[in-house]
Amino acid sequence: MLSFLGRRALYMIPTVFLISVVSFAIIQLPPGDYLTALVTRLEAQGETVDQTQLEGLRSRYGLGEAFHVQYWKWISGIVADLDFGQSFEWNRPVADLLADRLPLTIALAGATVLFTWLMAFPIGIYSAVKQYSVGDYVATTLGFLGLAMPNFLLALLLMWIAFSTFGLSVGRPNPVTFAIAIGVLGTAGTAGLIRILRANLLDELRKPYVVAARAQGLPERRLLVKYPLRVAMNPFFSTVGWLLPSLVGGEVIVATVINLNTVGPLLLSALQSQDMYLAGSIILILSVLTVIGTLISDVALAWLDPRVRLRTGR
Amino acid sequence: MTSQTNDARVAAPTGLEVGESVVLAIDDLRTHFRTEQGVVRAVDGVSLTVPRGKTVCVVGESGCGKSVTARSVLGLVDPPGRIEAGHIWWRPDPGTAPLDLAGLDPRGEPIRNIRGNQIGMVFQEPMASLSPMYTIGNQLTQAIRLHVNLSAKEARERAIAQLVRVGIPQPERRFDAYPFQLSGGMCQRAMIAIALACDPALLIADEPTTALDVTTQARILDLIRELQDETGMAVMFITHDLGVVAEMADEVVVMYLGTVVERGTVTDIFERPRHPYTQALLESVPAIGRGDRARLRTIAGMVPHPDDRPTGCPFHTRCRSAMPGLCDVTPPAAHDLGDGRVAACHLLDPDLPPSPTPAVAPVAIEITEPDHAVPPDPQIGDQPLLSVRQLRMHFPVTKGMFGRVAGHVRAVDDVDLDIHPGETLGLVGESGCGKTTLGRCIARALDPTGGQIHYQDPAGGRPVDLARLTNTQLHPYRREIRVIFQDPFGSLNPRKTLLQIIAEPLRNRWSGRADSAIEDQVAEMLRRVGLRPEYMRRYPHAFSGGERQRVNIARALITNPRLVIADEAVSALDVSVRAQILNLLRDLQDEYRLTYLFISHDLSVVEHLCDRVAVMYLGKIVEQTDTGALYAGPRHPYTEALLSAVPRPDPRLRDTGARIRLGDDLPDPADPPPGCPFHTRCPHRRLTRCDTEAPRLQDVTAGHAASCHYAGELALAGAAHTRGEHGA
Ligand code: SF4
Ligand code: SF4
Repeated sequence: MLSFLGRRALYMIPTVFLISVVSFAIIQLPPGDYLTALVTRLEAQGETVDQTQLEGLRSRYGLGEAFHVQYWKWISGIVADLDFGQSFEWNRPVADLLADRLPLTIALAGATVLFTWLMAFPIGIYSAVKQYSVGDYVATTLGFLGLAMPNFLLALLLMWIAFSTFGLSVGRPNPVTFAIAIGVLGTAGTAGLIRILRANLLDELRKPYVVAARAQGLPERRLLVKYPLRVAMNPFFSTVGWLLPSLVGGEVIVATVINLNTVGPLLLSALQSQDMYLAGSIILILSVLTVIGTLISDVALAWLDPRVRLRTGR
Repeated sequence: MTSQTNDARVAAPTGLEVGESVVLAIDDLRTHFRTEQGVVRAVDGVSLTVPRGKTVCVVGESGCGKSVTARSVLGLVDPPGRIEAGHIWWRPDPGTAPLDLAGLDPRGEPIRNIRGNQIGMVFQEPMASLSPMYTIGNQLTQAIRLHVNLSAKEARERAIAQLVRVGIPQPERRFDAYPFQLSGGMCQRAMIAIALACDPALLIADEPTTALDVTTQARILDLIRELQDETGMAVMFITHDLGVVAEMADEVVVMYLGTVVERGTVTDIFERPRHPYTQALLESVPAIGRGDRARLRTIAGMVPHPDDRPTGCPFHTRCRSAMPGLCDVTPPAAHDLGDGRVAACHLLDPDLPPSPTPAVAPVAIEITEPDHAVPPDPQIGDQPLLSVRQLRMHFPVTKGMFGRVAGHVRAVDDVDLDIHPGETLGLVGESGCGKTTLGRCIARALDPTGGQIHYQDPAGGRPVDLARLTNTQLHPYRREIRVIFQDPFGSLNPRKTLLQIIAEPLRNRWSGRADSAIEDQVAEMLRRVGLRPEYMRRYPHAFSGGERQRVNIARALITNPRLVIADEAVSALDVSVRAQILNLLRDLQDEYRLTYLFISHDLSVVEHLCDRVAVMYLGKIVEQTDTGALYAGPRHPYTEALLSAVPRPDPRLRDTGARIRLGDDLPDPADPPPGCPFHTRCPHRRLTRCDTEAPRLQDVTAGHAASCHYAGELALAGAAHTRGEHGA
């Protein structure tokens, strides 16, 4: 188990390195650099540019030098002092911006995972155990709807309901809009998870060991929880890994509609306005969080499933 | 449930009585599956009794409903299956009234108290029948604590005692092992420990040894018998293997298409079968040690699917003595023949006017002159067609964080083998011995690690070393050496028609050739293997296992090969269909002058089909000689043990002859034992040389090679036996 953990942790290092290189390449993609853009913009506004300040920035980021030098300056700044660079659009350090936005995003992600689990778990079990019952059909249909409905539509719908019932203003973030965001973001994931859980559980229920356990006189409920469910649970942990990227993707629109201060809209605007350091940093952080999420889900899987734990050690 | 008092006997319409000596009585049981396509009557009027303390074997081919019958007893039939009618009288204790299990709610408390407590059950796939998520100990203590009120600690002690009882070495360590860390045999022992944890009055064993090696099977059968002697439990043993029946049964129930066609004592059934199906079934089994290489008698056609059951007698479509106008209209009643014998056939009806066909004659068979008494092909003994020298196939075992190569599994280790044109060479051994890998190396589906495979086209041409050829160079030889695979279901692409499947090897090379020529060739091939040419536009799912295996054979032979490697080609087939395929393989061999490498774990089939046999153990050939010599007088202790483990379809041989049981499972092939690789299990091992010095494969007598230091001096028992007068 320990060697398994160690190996997984070690595998993370090259992955994260590659991600950072790619993120940095994204920063470098637009022609010119952000100082040139800054100068142009300031001059367009009729302001003068402090040459010494410019020079300072230039040397700090190694602008105009080779890719690997610039990369090294960027990454060593991040690793050593958590200095992600300066946001050109907001004229603030990227680190500050992220500190504002990231907690809410992570809280949203965590709450969404919880929501997904709490919804998918009972419904998935119910539709598998009562396959082809009315309840199963209802759950399956709702699941399809949940998968097919665009997020922003759902968000608008829920906002409208909240607005007309509670009389809440749309513009300001509050617990209700937060809950709506969770509902909207979690719906597709929940629907997907219900389908996976149902299919897995149906597969497991047909395995010989279920009949064998029944032949020992095990009551149905205990049997279900102890044997097939434990195997069918695996996808719940894999969600941790893939949830974050898909969440941020979906969140961009939803958070814009609902007006939540999360990372999604920030990333979108950073990309639009070529705010390179901000965009690159967000991509980097999200990717690293995803890698960590995957690691956590792998470890959870290994802990839960002796086949993973004992077979990979060899 | 039942209102009968102790001495009341429950009389059923079939005259079935639940006396005190009976622990289980199934009376006219009907278990049906209501599907969208209609009702499948999987069990359709089965009656049988299990006497207290005795073993009843329920035997039949796949789809005959034997497993569903067994599951019905415990209410374990999966939906949409349901017991529609009939009774299952359960009387664990002669002092109490019988209870009708068929009337219990399958999800209710009463049946749960019987499951695992009064009736234990063992299944076919030991590995899959244990949950991979929990340790053996966890599952065993759970089974104990479900029915017995014990503390966790007491349950653990009892569980370990139970593991000892089923012969699991190092029980404390195995208690904490997961099923996938144990071998199949060990898992089956653990399953038996679970099934018997609460000392049930009846053990239902559903094909418990089918998935196991013959050596393991022998020990599991021994174990069940010992435990039965010890506890006095009754056993209901479901199997398709008549050899196992002869070894285990006190009474036999023969099933066909959801009905019981005949039941009686084991001697009656094997020596005086009365029902045409029982007779035909017994004759389609090649028995080991008879030295009998005649064509097998077969049952025409195949078992119909239970959802299109013939009217009248279910067997009439395949029965040679079927009487038109009677058998295909009226289902025969079960006739009581005295002494507890019952058979369902119109021929046995005393009121029927005597028919021209005698009732007892083996009638349901297709007899062709045994054309194989002819002396072996004069070509044999010439230049070998294929000669394998020092062939090695090692698979690396990786370990640790960076996939460091920690060792090698020597799946094939220094094998020498000659195959002569026109002969059939059998390759036998337990699973994991490397026989399949060897076959795949010869077919060059694998790239051997070392050694040579010399191939000499008898029609001329220079010998080539197949082991050294590149893929492109191999191309012409891929048409000369073909493989028939084991699994008739997995090996055919479901999205292709038979025409596409069979013509595939031709198209590779002759893409420019006219399609009609290929079609003619495929049609001809289909006819050769006993399928109708019209089938060529159909997809494999429309065919049964036996027919698919014919398709596989057609695909192998379409290129007109020299050498055909048949890897467990008949293992997945039912007894009656297997006989048809074995006969077909022989006919084709004569017709096309084929040479076979026949890989199998089934020693009776190998004896029936092969001219010479090579025995493999841990990647090495340990003995190699003519079939007759090997079965009559093996020279290697491993061969002796293999032969002794094969169950014989003759109940009178049950307690005769030496019984050699191999201890322990196969050693780790990545870390073979020093000295003689077999010394860890060899009953004849001597301390002087066996564990230090590796024996070499050398001739003991002319043409009989064995790799044992004492091959010349040991007196080993073969499989030959004086055959009684039973049979035709
Ligand atoms: S009843 Fe007729 S068809 Fe059936 S087994 Fe007897 S003879 Fe054959
Ligand atoms: S060499 Fe020794 S251990 Fe090996 S088979 Fe012969 S007697 Fe047995």
